[in-house]
Amino acid sequence: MGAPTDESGSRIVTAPSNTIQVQRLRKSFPHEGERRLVLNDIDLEIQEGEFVSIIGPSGCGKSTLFNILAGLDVPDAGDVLVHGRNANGQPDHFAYMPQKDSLLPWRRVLDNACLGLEIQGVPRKHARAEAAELIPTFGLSGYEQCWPWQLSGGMRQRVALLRTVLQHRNVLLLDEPFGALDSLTRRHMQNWLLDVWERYHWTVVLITHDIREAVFLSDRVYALTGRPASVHSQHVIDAARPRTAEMFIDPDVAAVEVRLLAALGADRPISSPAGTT
Amino acid sequence: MTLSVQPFFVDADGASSQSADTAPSSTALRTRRRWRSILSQRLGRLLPPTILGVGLLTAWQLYVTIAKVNSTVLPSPARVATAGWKDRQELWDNMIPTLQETLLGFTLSITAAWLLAVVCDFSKIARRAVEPLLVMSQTIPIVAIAPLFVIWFGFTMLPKVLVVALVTFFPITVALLRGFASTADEATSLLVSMGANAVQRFVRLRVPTSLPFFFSGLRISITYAVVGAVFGEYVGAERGLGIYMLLAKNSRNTDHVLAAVAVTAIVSLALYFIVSVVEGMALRWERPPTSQVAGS
Repeated sequence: MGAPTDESGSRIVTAPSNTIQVQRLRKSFPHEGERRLVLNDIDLEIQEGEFVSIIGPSGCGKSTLFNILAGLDVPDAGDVLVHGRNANGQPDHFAYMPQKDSLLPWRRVLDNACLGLEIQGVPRKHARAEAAELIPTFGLSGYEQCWPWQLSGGMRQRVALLRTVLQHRNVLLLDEPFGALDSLTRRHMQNWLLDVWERYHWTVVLITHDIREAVFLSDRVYALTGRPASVHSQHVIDAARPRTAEMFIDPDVAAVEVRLLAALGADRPISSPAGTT
Repeated sequence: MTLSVQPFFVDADGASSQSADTAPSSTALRTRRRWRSILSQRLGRLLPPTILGVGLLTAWQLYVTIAKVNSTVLPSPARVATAGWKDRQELWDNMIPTLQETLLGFTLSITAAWLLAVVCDFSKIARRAVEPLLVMSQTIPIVAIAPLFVIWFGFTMLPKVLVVALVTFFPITVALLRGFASTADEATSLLVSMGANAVQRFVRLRVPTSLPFFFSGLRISITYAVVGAVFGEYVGAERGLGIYMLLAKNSRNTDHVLAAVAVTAIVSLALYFIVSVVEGMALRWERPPTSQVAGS
């Protein structure tokens, strides 16, 4: 493991213009007559072509953060900068893949994949042709004309990812994409995702609960604190790519896992929760 | 009674097969198996109601014959059938205007329901304003309003069309509103994140989501529709099954009344069947009920 992990996480680096920067993001929601702070000065920074995971205790406000990045919600304070320009409340930069696949049951696989393009005004024929090109990569050959209910969970997730990728946005925002899958299917999906990512090098921000998943897939992992969420620490995963499960034999990688467990307070019994709500 | 058109892959393994190479092959075999299974399902489903219907008619026939009931009070099914058959030209000529009124009224009702539901879906204020009136419209006794329609609009088709619309548009509107409202929040968020505007979200998400609800409403209201038209005619018309029944009753031709009732029932059933077929075509993306997956 080359670079040491940066435990401070909250310092702001002057970034080159081709990165995503999240600066001192704050968000609170009304709750029982008062305002409850959910995001407390979140600072993130994502380089182009980087795979970054965000991990945090459940209920810490990761989804709120994602909604802000996806332009579905606006922060009370702070900025989302894309290429140095403010992108608060703009959905045009991030392609969002929600937790549930949200495939539209009345659209066949190919047309579900095209949805984003159609919304952008691309003629259906062109959109379909574009989607059809990526169908084999996404392991969906022969299923283009199926209805969503005819697919397995893993396949549905791949359609959802294809739909996300096809939007041609700067960043893919994946909100626990494999959370609902059984562990074996999840493993297959992670391997597959790594494989396609090697080819396309999308910029990815992944939310997950799963430390091993975050370590396995990412270049860098942000650990968030419990609510109100702020960046607890960031961890560089300095393992060679393409990655295999063997990377977990590496003591440095194992050490990162242990540090992440500690950061999330998951190294202690439940009786002494570390700031979780 | 659902008559939905089955999607392919009704086999249990079709829903969950994972490997890409087993999917689209042997389509011909699947199609053949599918049609055979649909046929046997249809026959299986038709059998019990047929037996029950025949049984009831037989009981009625036996009762009338054995108890020697006066045919003005209660004619036997055989007598009703004979009377109906003899008067078939007259019944047919009276059925046509009833059918026309039904279809016109139903079209009017669907149009009004969509307009109202769309407006209410886009505007909360409109919804709050319209909803109480919508419910009130259903508390109007048709018995009282139908004769008034005749006074206002004469012996034309219009009063009957209005009665049909009045009794059918409520279930359709309510079904549509519920359908729009049942749109998943997550899907809405997804479309917003894609940059979809309100109209795009409505057309691509809310309308398709509402379709199953819409067709449920349609199937409920089509059964009221024919009866509504008949009732509209009953209070004043020149032609139609309703006026046919009234005249037959006045001349104590009970068998003719019941023959017209039977025609009404057949027309209703036929329309219900048509709605179901259209529904099956429009909702062919729906997953067939699990019983059908397992049973094929």
